[in-house]
Amino acid sequence: MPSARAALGVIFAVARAHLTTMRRYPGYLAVDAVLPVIVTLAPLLIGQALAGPGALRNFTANTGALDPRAYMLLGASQLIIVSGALWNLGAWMRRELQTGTLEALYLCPAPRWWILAGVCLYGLCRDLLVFLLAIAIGGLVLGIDLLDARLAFAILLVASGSLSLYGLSLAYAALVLRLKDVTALTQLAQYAVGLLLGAFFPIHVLPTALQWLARAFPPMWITQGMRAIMLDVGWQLGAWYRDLAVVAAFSLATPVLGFLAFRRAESEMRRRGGVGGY
Amino acid sequence: MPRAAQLVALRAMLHKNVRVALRYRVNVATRVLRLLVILPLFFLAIAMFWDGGVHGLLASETGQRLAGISIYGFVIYQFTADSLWMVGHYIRQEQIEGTFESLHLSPANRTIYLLARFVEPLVLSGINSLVAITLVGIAFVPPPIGDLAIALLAFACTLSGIFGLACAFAALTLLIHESAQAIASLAQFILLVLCSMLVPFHSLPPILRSISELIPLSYCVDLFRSSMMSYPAGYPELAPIHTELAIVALWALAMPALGLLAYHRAERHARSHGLLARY
Repeated sequence: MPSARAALGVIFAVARAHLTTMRRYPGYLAVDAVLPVIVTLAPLLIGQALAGPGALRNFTANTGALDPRAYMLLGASQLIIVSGALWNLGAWMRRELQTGTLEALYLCPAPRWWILAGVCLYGLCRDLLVFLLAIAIGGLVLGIDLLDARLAFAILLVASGSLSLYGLSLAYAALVLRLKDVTALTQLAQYAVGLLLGAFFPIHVLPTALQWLARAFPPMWITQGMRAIMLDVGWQLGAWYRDLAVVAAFSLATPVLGFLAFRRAESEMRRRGGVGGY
Repeated sequence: MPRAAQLVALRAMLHKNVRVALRYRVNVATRVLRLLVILPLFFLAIAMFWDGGVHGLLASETGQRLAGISIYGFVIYQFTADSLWMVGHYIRQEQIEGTFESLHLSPANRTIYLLARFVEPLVLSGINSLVAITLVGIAFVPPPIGDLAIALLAFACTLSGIFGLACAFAALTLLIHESAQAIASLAQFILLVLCSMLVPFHSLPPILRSISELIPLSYCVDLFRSSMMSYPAGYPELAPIHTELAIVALWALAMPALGLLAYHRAERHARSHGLLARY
């Protein structure tokens, strides 16, 4: 078994390779940073225009937030981060299948978990960058200032929640190994993520079954926690330490579950000789 | 290439595309299921501005009418979004799999290739739209079916223009690769908002309304929606019906020509610079 130093070397090399590839497509990054602003603008403008003069008062009554711009921008930014995390690992897996290099990865002496950790590290760097850019651009376009000390706590929350997020994306990658082409499934997942994390609304407006599903979805706790920190809308369980305990529990459980799902899909695929098939 | 041979090529390509698509059944099924999530996401967001939230929106007359208005715009959105994304996406897939360059060594007509790629999103969007109309009919009120002749004419012209738009995005894919796919995703949202596909044009803020009046697709949405709703008072919203018909017809004729021109130019550029296989 190679040393921890070698493991870190592999993880950083994979992350660096992906970051280099990212620089090859600057338009992609720019679109990801602008997308939360566009996604925020749509319901914000249309909702206010349709609801009339009482729109802002109604929004506060329905969500507990004073400023719909900040509320929706934070939700949209988190939506892009979560769907990006799902997309990155799943799309990477599919890309490796299509280019025929996944099989080669199974033959190389570096354990796959380190390679996957490298891809996740790249995802985390990219997602945090997109989040910061989206908050900065959104702030400029929407005329709000979210760049204060509380943002640092929100970023800490996002970063600490990334363990559970990448646990989920590992489970999603397992799905890619099983189903191969998941382009539409990814798009469906992106919209479903928006519903479950309450990108534009508090989850209590969802039907009861969906509310429970949302509570079992770790990014919902991150999104609502971020809003509690930055907009004082209140914590899901009434106090910050209870919400953070849930985030911590998810951070422990989700990677294990994702790991098990991935290992199972992987061993089944290898048994059937389908590593090179797409 | 003789016309009969072109038809044979189109048939063969369609057959191959359908076979490949059906290989991934979950992918096909989820493309239909997507709309079960998109519409609630959008409506719940708007409902937050409503007195009484979701229940207030559903109970109000404006909310009920909104569902009817949205569904026809949503039909156009389905076709636009799927076509914009999918044609470029398939080119990208061929590049990644390494088959795009060999495709250019075959005598097959490239316009026919694009047409064959356009048919799959067309069929799936058709199924999506029927499911969406049925769902809205069950959940709210059955959407009205008014002047079907004009609506079908508007719809056919819209599709023709969308084909041109898809070709233009395919051209962009050849030039800027992965970034074009991201731009296509962004364009879907921008068109959704600016062409006021889910809400009436009068609900747009003045600046967005001014921009939407400059986009021909807005007139397609307006004409299709208004004719399906039997022209209620104030509809069509953007221009008199004859003006909208003229704009929509122009869109149907000009967009495919422009899109194909852009694609062939991009393809020539990629070939002359040896970039066809690069991704």
